[in-house]
Amino acid sequence: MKSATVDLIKRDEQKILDEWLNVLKQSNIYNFQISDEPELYNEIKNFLTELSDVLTPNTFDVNSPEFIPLKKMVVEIAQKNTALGFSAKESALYIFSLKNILFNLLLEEYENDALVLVKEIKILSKIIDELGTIIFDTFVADREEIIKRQRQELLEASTPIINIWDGILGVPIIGTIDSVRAQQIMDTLLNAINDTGFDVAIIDISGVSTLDTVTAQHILKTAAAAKLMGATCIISGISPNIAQTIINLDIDLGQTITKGSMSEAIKTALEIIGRKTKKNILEYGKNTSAEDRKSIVNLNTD
Amino acid sequence: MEKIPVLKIGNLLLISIQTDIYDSQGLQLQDDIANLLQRHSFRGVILDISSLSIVDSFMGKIINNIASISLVMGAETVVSGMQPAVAITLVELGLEMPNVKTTLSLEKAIQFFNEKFNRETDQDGSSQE
Amino acid sequence: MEVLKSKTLKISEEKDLLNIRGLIREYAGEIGLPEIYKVKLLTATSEIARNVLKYAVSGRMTIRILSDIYKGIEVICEDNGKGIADVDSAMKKGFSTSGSLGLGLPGAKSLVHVFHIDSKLSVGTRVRLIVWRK
Repeated sequence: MKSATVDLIKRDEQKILDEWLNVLKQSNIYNFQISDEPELYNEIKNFLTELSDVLTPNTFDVNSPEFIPLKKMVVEIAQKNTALGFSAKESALYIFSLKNILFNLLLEEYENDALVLVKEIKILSKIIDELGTIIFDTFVADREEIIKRQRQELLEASTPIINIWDGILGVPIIGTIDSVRAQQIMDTLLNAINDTGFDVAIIDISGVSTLDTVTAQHILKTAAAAKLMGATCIISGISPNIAQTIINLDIDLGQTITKGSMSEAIKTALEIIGRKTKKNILEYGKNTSAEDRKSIVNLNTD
Repeated sequence: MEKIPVLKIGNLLLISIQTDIYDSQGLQLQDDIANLLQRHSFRGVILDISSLSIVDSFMGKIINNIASISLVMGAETVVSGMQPAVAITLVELGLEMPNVKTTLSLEKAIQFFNEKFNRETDQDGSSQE
Repeated sequence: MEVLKSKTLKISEEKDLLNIRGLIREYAGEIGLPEIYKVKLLTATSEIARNVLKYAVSGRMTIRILSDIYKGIEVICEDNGKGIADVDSAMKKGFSTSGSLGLGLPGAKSLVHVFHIDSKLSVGTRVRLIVWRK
């Protein structure tokens, strides 16, 4: 790039900035408010200063180290815009709108020298395009970060433990289960059983799209662990499809109680806890004094 | 080495294991329970392991042995209060406890035996009528 | 991979087992290992240590805190015992030459993230376990 061009940009800095600010203000993308103006002005001023600093007669290699601060600046701008909810296109227009202004400037200056004009436009265009792609890259990277974070959040939120009844816990499982999630479900449920002292836990898998051997193994392990702790696990929501899978894969359900629907499971669960409490009270009611009965009731509500 | 205390409550034996125990203590406990069951007619054994943070295959074997011995001698074994992490570990280890009834807490273990004994008394009563 | 802490303890009698458990608990606490992983590692270590006491009589155990992408705890158990004749069989559930449940080695393997075993007859056995704080 000719030093004359660099000088030109430096000389006309004020003019460029005014025009650029104007374009940004008028474009629909910026939901522009007067209070934003000084900030925006400072931002583009810094950007232009940085740009004219790196544009020396010999540099047009965007990958050279001199460009690093400028690239950083672009990344920051892109990140800020993404945070404000701009689309990738809108963020890119921020940089590309400068292109037009600079081209007009060059057009005026090199009116009589077409060859130089083309050369200079080519260089400038390359630089600005390069910066524009950084915007896209940053945007995509930001989105990926968000997706990753949301996936983690989903993972954490995906095992709600519900108190269905006094003595019955429920865990609806939705989507696919990988071993990380299965482990988490196992941990959460068993700890909930330990904390509440509830005797029955219903694991509902109606929301599980596909059941493979590994997933089934994990659910059965959870049921086995719950049994060792002294609780009963009921697996509900076994669709005809999943029942077929269980048969085809030859999965051994052992002594695990399975039910087709959640309502069936709740019925069975109520029977289990009902059997425990009702009989107890009746039996003690027969042969024991009122005081004994009180202590037994306390035991049950515990 | 210190013996693990075995408490006698009515027709129940109650053992609460509070800390990591030596293998020899475990074997000793197994013998103590067998002897007590032989001399007196206890109907149930409650093993409270709520404070126990590790059950390895050796300890698991001792629990299973106690349950089998009890069964042969006419008593049922209930293990109470197994910690979630211990339960998962035992499942991963592949250790099964077929003859062992489990409950969430010591209270529930006592309640289980109370119900059982009451049921039996009722049945005896009705058969006499 | 970086080793942040390392300590070697002997195993020749039962009470060493409790010392080893104590050290693992201490290290697990330092790196904030979740309860479930801690219990699994403790159980796996118990199984391995018990094998040493039963078959090799004595050995040593090195416990280290590792730092890689995650932090973790590594347990290396070495003995100069008679070695395992058939490692493949010893790694199968239910296999035992001593009348035990035969869950020790295969059980330990399923409890940890990394499990390596090397054994040479009449030279000794070396088992290495790692649990990561994922």
